[in-house]
Amino acid sequence: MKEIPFFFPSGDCHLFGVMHIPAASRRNTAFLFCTPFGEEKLWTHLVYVNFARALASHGYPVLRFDYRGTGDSEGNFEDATLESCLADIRSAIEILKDQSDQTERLGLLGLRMGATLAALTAETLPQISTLVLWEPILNVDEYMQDLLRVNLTTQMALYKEIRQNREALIRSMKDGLTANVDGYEISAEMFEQFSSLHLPRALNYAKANCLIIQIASKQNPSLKDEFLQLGSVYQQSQVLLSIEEPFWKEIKPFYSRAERLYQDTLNWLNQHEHRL
Amino acid sequence: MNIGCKPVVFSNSDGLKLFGILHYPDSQTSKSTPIILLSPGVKYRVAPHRLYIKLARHLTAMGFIVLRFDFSGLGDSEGIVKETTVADFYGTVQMGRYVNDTKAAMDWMQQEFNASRFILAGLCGGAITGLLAGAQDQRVDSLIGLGLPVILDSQHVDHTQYLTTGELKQWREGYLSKFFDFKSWLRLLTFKSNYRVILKIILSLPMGKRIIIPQKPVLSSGSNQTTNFNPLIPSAFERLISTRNALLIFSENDRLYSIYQERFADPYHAILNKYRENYEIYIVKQANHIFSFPEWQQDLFYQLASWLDRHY
Repeated sequence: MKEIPFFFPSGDCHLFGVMHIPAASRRNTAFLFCTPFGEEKLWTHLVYVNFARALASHGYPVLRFDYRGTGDSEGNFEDATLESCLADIRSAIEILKDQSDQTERLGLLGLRMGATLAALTAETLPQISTLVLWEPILNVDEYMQDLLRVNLTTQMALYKEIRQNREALIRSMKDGLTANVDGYEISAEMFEQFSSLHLPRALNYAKANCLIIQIASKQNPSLKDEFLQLGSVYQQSQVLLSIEEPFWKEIKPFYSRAERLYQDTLNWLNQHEHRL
Repeated sequence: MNIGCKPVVFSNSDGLKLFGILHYPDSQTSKSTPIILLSPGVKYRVAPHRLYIKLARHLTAMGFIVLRFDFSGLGDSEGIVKETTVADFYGTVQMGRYVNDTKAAMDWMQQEFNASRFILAGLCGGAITGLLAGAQDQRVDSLIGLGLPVILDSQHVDHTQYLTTGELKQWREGYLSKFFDFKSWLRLLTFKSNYRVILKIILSLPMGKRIIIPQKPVLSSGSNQTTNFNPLIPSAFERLISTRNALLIFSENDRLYSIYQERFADPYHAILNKYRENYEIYIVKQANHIFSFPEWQQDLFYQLASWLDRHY
């Protein structure tokens, strides 16, 4: 098993990626991992790395990469938009095809916003045969509002008062400023493009074989209707529930692996690999 | 393709591959002392809101070669973190878990660039790692510590787990200096001594080694014996600043600043004053622990650049 770190071009930027190449027994599908947003990307890095290694040990080639303005890639976060993220995924797919010698069957895996972006990408690229969506964000408008609430929390911690409420933050973005969320500068363009996004409304094609996993930290929770609805849009899909802590945010346990999530995903892939 | 940085891989003393990104300046003439950015912890070589990317860009623009890398078990490096809670993990970092990885980074940079002196810089866990590495390794020319923690996050830290040969020597010297002290013998016989350390000291003694009773370390005692104060801080700080330079930057709204003041700067002020010319402290007004607002980052970068300009 080899891991090859490298930079590759995407438009006017160079993106950072790591290619995981299996030692033997290559599977039909090569995977691209799409990362979540902001600090969620950092908290989940080890879970991504270890699952890429796990998939590679099962024979799947995997490419992990950073969108422009995130991780080790070039660019600044404030210059990124929904369009640029999708363009970066498409560039990474070309690299994955090239590096894995796999052009027929490609899979996308994502967590949270990474899952949402993966689902959107699959809409436009028929060669995406497999989609693995871990806790996808469906109502992105609500998510973007939550990000602004993070800004308000920071204001309260610093100034003991809210000096700019959400409406004021949105106004100032429209005036050309950025809204700071945990150190990430969000532009009006990014905010508007993402806020207009909603799954499954944005899905028309939905041909990929799709695994949706709801992540819950409590025993015996029920599957959320919204995930079941998303699953019903796809021609082939399964919606599962994995008991894991919300490892995309600051929690007490040290989370380098998500064993149940890994196992659920691998079991599903192993079943579906036979059919491919 | 020249994008000013490239991925690198090198091994630590346990043979684990460590992953890093090397940034190099545009100009042909670079400064002779490279900077190594030490990971703050879970947020690996990137750091919160990509602070280390922003820092690396500023530092390479000043002519410095910069390495950011992942400690073992973090980021893309090999290795496993066995601790099950983040607090316990941070506790081990604060006790020097990654000092040897830092030395491995210096070894690699020394080979690659023929550099013999290094500037270590880091936020939080990176700052304490830099301090502890600097105390042990004379190749560390200076330390830039952002939000240096002087307490231990974990309640379950094994203080002996990451003791190096040098530290064991220091502990041994401390015990030997108490050889004729009645109270010390009383502690030993009433099971209050740290038997784990004593055992490690005995096991680390080469056969036939001549025992020399040394002078008591200047900063070996303080008023923090019963708190969660990190016992490694005083001697490490003294070892570093007695011969080299340090810039400590704190955020005004970070509890680590007041903790630094109350637990370390105040109790040890008389001794710290001896080396006052060797270290500077700067407080970024209103800032939080991760310097999340751009005006705080600008202030941080400005102070850092000005300090580096004066020293390099």
